[in-house]
Amino acid sequence: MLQNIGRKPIFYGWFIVAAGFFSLFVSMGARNGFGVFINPMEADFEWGGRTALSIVIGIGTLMNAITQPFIGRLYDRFGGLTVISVSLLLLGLTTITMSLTSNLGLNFAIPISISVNLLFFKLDQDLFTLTGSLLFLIVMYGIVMSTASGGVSLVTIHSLLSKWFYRKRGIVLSLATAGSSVGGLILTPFAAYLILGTHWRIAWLALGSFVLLLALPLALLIVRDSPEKVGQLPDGEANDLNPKSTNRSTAVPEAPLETKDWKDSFKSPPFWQLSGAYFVCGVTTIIISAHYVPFAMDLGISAGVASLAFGFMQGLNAVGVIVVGLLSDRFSRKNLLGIIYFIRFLAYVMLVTPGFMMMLWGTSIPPSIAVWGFATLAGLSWIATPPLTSSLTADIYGVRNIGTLNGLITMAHQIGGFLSVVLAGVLYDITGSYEIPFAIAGLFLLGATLASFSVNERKFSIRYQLRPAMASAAKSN
Amino acid sequence: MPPLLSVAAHHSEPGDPRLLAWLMHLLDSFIGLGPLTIVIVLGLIVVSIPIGIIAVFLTQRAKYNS
Repeated sequence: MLQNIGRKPIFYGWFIVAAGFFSLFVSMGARNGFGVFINPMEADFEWGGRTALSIVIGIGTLMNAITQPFIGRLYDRFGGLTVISVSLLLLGLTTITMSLTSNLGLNFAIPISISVNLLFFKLDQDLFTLTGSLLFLIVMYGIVMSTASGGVSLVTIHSLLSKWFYRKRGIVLSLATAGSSVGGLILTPFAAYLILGTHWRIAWLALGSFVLLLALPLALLIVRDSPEKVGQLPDGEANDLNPKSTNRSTAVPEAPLETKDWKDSFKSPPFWQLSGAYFVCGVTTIIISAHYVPFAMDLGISAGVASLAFGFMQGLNAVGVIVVGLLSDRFSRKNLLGIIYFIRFLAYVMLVTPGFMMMLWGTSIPPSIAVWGFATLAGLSWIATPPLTSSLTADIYGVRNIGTLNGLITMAHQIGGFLSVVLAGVLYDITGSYEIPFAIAGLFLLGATLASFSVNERKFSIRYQLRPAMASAAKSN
Repeated sequence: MPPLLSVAAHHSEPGDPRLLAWLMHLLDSFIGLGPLTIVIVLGLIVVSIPIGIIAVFLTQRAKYNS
């Protein structure tokens, strides 16, 4: 024991950050990895083109969006350990079950078509043929896996970490968020090369095993719902490892807008300001994921360079989110959020400049400047918004209903993204270019910038309102 | 890439297969290792993360609970 005198143990919360990082690493990685399974699975089952798989992924996205508030509610009711562990178990089992994809002896083939006839929009198309294997994929990936991954998402991990950290909330949430980005960067090529070397069934098995054999035991061993469970205070203020100790004060004081009933949050402006801005975040990021490469190719950029620029943008994610996380614990979070949205607005201006210059003056800047400039600016702001939004939500509304509120705000993000992709496609068909949909998305960003700047953080955030209370609580220990 | 295939690629959705294929080609040309070698290297990285976390966690618990 002598050698431990004067040396403080690592605050338990940092182990929660590590467990959260790895949980997001495997859950996001497993879902991101689905892209590499598309071609080999399609070759085996002959689903008749990408539309069928698009439908599966579309169902998965909508399920993931719709279930977020419910999962958030479950989090508030049963705690992080239960929801995250059960979700990891379900996610792992489903991922392994994906390796068994087959027709299950269901030998049917039902043609599915769509017929839409609006004022200016007409669509009459055969979509795909529903087979047993496709039904299997819709149920397992589209419904079960997409719902389970919602339980190991930014909603639950951010909510959990918000209970463990108060002063360092910004950097902690950012570190965990980076796990999702790094997971995609490592697990996607892992799955791709495993498919190349063996078979797609082995790759699903491996991804599922990571979840069941690595992430689940880690969560069960480490994740605890709040600092009080291990006799500590947020940020390790007390650092008292004895859970039975009575020499401690209770956790974080109530946030200015904390209410018993989560529905009361709808009555205050910050909820709508944050949700509205996050809706725009969904609009402006997901539209790019879907349409960036084709847009760049329209400008005369090769598919390879466009893909490289997109990859570069994704790679900047982790850098951007960590830098913003560090800054957000020192400066006003709403101002940083506003600046991030404004940077993304500038990125969009850069993106549409060549097209509009060509339309107006018949001459333009080189498209490569626009594509790479956009990739740099947008990459830095790409996933910097989730930790800022979640930490502001916790600062303003407290941690009592944090899961439900994070879930609702995230649902706004996903719905915004879904609508933007569909509408951008429609506008492209009407105008023949991406400039108009991208310009509209860019204008939305100005609204998000204003909404973020207008959050009255000084009045509503616990950081500004209750700092003395925290200080005295820490002192009493 | 059809729109629905790319929906929500922001936080959790499948990567663009065309981008992935292109990146794999790039990695192959730089690294020049076989697919299974890359799988083993990446797999070891993945496994080492939770093992490292658990090792530090258990060491600290043993140290401060004694």
